[in-house]
Amino acid sequence: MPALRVTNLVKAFGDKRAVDGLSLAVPAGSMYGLVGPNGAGKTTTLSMVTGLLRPDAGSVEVLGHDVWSDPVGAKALIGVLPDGLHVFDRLSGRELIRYVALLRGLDRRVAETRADELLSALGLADDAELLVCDYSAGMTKKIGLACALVHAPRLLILDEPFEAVDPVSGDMIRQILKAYVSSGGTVLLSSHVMEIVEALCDSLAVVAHGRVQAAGTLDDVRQGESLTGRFLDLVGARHLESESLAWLHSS
Amino acid sequence: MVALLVGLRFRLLRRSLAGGGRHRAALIAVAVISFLFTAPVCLVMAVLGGTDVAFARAVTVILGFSLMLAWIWLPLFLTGTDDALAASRFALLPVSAARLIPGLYVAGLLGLGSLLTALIGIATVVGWARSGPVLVAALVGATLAVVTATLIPHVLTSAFSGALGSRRFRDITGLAVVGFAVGFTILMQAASTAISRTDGTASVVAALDHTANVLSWTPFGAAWALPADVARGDAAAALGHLVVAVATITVLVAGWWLALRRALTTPLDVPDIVGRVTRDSVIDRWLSGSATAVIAGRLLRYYRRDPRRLLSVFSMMLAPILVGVSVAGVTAAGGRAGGISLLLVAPLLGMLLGPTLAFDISYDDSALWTHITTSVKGWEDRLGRLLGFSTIALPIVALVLFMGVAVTGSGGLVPFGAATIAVTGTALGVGSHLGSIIQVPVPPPGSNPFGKGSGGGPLSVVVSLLTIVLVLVVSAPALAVAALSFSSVWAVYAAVPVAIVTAVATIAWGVVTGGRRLDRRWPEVLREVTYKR
Repeated sequence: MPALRVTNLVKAFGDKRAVDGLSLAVPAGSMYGLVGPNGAGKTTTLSMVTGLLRPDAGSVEVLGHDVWSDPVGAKALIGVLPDGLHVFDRLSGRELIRYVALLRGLDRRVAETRADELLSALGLADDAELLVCDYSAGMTKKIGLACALVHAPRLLILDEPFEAVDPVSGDMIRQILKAYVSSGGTVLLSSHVMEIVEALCDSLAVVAHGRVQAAGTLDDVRQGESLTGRFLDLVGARHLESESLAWLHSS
Repeated sequence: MVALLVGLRFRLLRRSLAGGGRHRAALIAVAVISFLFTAPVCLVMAVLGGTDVAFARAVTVILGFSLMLAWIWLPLFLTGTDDALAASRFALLPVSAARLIPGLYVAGLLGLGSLLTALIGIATVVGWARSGPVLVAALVGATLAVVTATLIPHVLTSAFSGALGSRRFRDITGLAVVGFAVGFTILMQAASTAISRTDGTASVVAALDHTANVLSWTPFGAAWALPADVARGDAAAALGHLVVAVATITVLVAGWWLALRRALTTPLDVPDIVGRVTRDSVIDRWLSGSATAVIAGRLLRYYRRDPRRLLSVFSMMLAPILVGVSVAGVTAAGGRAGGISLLLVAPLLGMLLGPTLAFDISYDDSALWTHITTSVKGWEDRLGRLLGFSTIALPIVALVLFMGVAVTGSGGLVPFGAATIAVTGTALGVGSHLGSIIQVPVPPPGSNPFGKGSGGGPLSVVVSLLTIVLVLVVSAPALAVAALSFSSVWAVYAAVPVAIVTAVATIAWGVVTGGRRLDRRWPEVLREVTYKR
């Protein structure tokens, strides 16, 4: 059974079909990348997968639990790091992890120890008592990841986890994710940086125009090319015509 | 530049009118209600021509002065300024403050408030059309007054916009303005009452005349006194008032220019390290680890740390206190005991708890996803917010009630205590319910608490009025028993129990039905509270 099975997902905003019959199967124990150009429907898909946006049609199943008919069962299994959504940023880092942990139903003492461990693992221990609104963008990503991990989920869904993260923290996050996958967890992450996906993921899906254009293991999708080259082929690269923006050339 | 900004404002207005049906309905409702409030004022101003000069002067100055005050504090909890034209948005463009000011001012005139103020100004001119010179004076005075009034929100918002720098500074200044508005209004009331007392006059007209005398020499009253000065042939007073009125406008424009210049050069919110919070606070030690308790605990923290919520509590307290003190002041000036109106402050405040609680979910903005993804039950969200908010709000209501009783004597304790319990409880229940149905746009987290998002003002007014009507309907039986306790003995014993039952039942209803509604519609609610850029 795949950790996540998405079947014929559809979501339209007005006339625009942001997600248009998207199907996806993420094998358990894989590090799965979701790549696509801006506006391809990645974030919309992940919002529907995590129960934050109601799909017009289609189904989402997490380890046998349907997200929209058995939300409590499905949501207990997933940890989420959305992109572009606020967190309760007038709490300190420690308070935020504790808040999420207690809402997840963890015991107070367990919540306390896990918050401690996550804060030091992510290098936030010194800033644990600082309000999250005073954190940098990278620190906010890391505290979001801590909140996604605190209840030891079976499936991690991360939207652009490396955006605004500096190389040191990025490496730290990579190590955490690799350890998580090697111990049996499943990660679904979105990115539009091909190098990250190529270095980190074992499988991926290329999404454009709200549909999966290619999916499978890294080698299946690459077909001997570089991932960037293959990606540009799949989504349709555009070349700048030589005449356009001529006024920009200063000489 | 003027044409550009006015065009932009027109497009924004048109879009807000063309937008969702609910918003347009709210906008129209607010327009109708404001016209209903303004029409009598215009009528009074316009028929002053037939009355004697002293009386006409008193009415013009006092009403005009109140209009200016309204421009200060109405934006605090009504429409606010549309932050589409906020100064910091122009920071990246090569424009100077001096070039922006005319355009921003004219664009700002395209609004309901300016229209109504202009109507009142015109009505004043009509009322003072006694003779040629007086008419001219009225025209000059009304123009100066309308310009002053419409400048006030620009100065306030650009001075306190996010551009001013650190968040901590903003938190403090936000509260300072509210404090200033409250203090200033109460001070004026107290002063007018005191003046009328020292003269030993019982006549209302004399009291009004004295109040007008004082107010006419304040920045916000001077322009309104001009026509009366000319009508009396008092050239010195006319000149004095003219100087004060023109100086007021000069100071406002200068202040706006300075604030705007600073906003344009330091547009970015420089993050400042506010310091650390204590690791284990009392809140955690006292509350259990259940979802309801944890949410209540967060609310307790947020009412201290989130300036938008702090401001909402302050503006919630503003209206009833103003009403109570004003009515008490006026009746006292008229030589009658006005204490009873102080007792009304507590139930009025209790009623406003409803809208404030209903708006709370909107302040979470998209951070609400945390509740959805952790499978928080709707009722846990509702009850948690209610408990957290009540912990802050109920002591204030109780304090106001006991202050009123202390001033007026213990006779009012049972009827007004019962009324307060019934109204406060039903307001909390109705607020819990409505908050799950209608989410009002509020400023996004970390932004200027005076902005109200885009066009959230009208909807928030409608929700507030809806809450108040529902609260009155639901608590009517309990209020009736409370009123009877003035005269009949059984009601004295029945009033408080009936009030408590009404309160508890409404809260239970609001939490359960509101919670069910959230359970069904979490994703839609999340979309609704997410700030639309």
